[in-house]
Amino acid sequence: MTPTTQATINSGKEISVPKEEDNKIIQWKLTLHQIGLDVVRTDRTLVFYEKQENLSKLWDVLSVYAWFDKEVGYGQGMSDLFTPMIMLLEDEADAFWCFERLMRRLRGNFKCGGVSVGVESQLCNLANVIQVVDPKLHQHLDHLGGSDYLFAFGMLMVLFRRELSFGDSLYLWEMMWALEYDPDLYNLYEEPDSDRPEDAKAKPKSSRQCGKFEREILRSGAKDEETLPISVFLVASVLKEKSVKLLTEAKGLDDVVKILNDTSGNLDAKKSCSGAMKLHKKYLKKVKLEKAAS
Amino acid sequence: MAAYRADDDYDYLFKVVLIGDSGVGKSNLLSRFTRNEFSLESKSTIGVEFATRSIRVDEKIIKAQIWDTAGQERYRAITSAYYRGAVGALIVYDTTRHVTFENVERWLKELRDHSDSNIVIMLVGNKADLRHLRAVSTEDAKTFAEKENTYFMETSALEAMNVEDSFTEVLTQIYHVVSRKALDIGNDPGALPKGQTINVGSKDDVSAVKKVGCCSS
Repeated sequence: MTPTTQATINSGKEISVPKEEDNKIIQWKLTLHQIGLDVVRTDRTLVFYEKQENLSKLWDVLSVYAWFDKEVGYGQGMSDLFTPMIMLLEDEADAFWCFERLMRRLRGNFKCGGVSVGVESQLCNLANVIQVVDPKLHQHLDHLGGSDYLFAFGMLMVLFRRELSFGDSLYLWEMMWALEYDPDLYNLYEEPDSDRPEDAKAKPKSSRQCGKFEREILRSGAKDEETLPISVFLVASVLKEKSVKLLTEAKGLDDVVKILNDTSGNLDAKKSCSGAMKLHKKYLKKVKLEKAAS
Repeated sequence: MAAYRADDDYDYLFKVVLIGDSGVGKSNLLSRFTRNEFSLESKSTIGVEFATRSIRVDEKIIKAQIWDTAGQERYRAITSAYYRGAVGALIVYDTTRHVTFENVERWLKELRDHSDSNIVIMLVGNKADLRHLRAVSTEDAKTFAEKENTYFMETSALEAMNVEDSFTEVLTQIYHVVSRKALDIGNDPGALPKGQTINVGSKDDVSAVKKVGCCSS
């Protein structure tokens, strides 16, 4: 396998035998270097980051997070996800915890396991969705050498922050999260030892309390491990919307990227969300039919 | 539609990868070459980005499909997809940060482990405009390139120095490898290379390699 920093440190271990804790510190310090490189190139067009103190906040939070969540550490793209938090919540600590809650849902994408990056499983899900809702398009992308859907990597990692203006991406995030809302998810965000009233926990969930996307999942009776996040369907709806253009004009992966970039510049959050909802419905239906058939 | 086809008229399609440590200027080298743009506000690359440009070599039109990759260690996990089908590579380091030059050896090893043995490699020392900050001497880099049998050039994406030349050189060399191979095949049909990455005469050079899906099912 590839010689990673990890390996270098491990081989060094044989000589000096540093303690477990030392290793953690070394790992973290290596991360700090990367954070330093990325802090100065995050959203440079925003006036907000012209202030040195705001750049410091970005650096602080990312480096504390890397220590806090050692399994994930720091991955490129996380700075993009954090910017809205620190702009909306002036207090650094508040912004950190807000970011930490967001990462609970997204950290899987950033996790790295030697030969794969977490987001690849989402890309794989995306491939499955396209295969179901638009088999012709999937076949075409496959023919162009894009069966791994790597061109959608960024969209899933930073939830369209690179494709949309700052304001539009916030609008999209809010819509996404409203659609995905599930009161149980809120419980997940609570610390296990927090003193919530017992009856709130025991109350059976009414689907009316959930967002529309979550309701569809409940209605379909899909198990937790089968459910996909709305982001996958959002990317799918962007692809589907450009399906004709992709099928007729894309002769290589670079064309695919070009066509997708052309759209996402003026991506309509509302339209994309309703498109994602439609595809989700279609997908759940087809999966159910397939299951019944087999 | 017709215009699109005309634009897509090429004789060869070569896949070239840009690799090297984070922040050495890979994305700006790419944008300088493909769009003649440079941005001081460029962001980190997440995963992979692609761009193309066609150039003329010996009356042939060569379309370069360039893959710009993220430099961060963890994203190297998806390496095999980057290197699959690549016929050229630019390993970039930052002339002002010595550690990025030291890491070239690792990039080189990884590249050789994952790609075709005929791949054309160029070592590129970027940010050469920052003369007062130089940390890697031209001599050292040249010696290293000679030892490793790769091409070498110092560039500045900011000043547009040698960017055109470095890409053109790599593409020309790939073209020579390919046309030489075509000649070999012509003289001795028995020596037809099997499962080669470079597939002369096919417009699908890049995607001609066996595709591997991301899902096992």
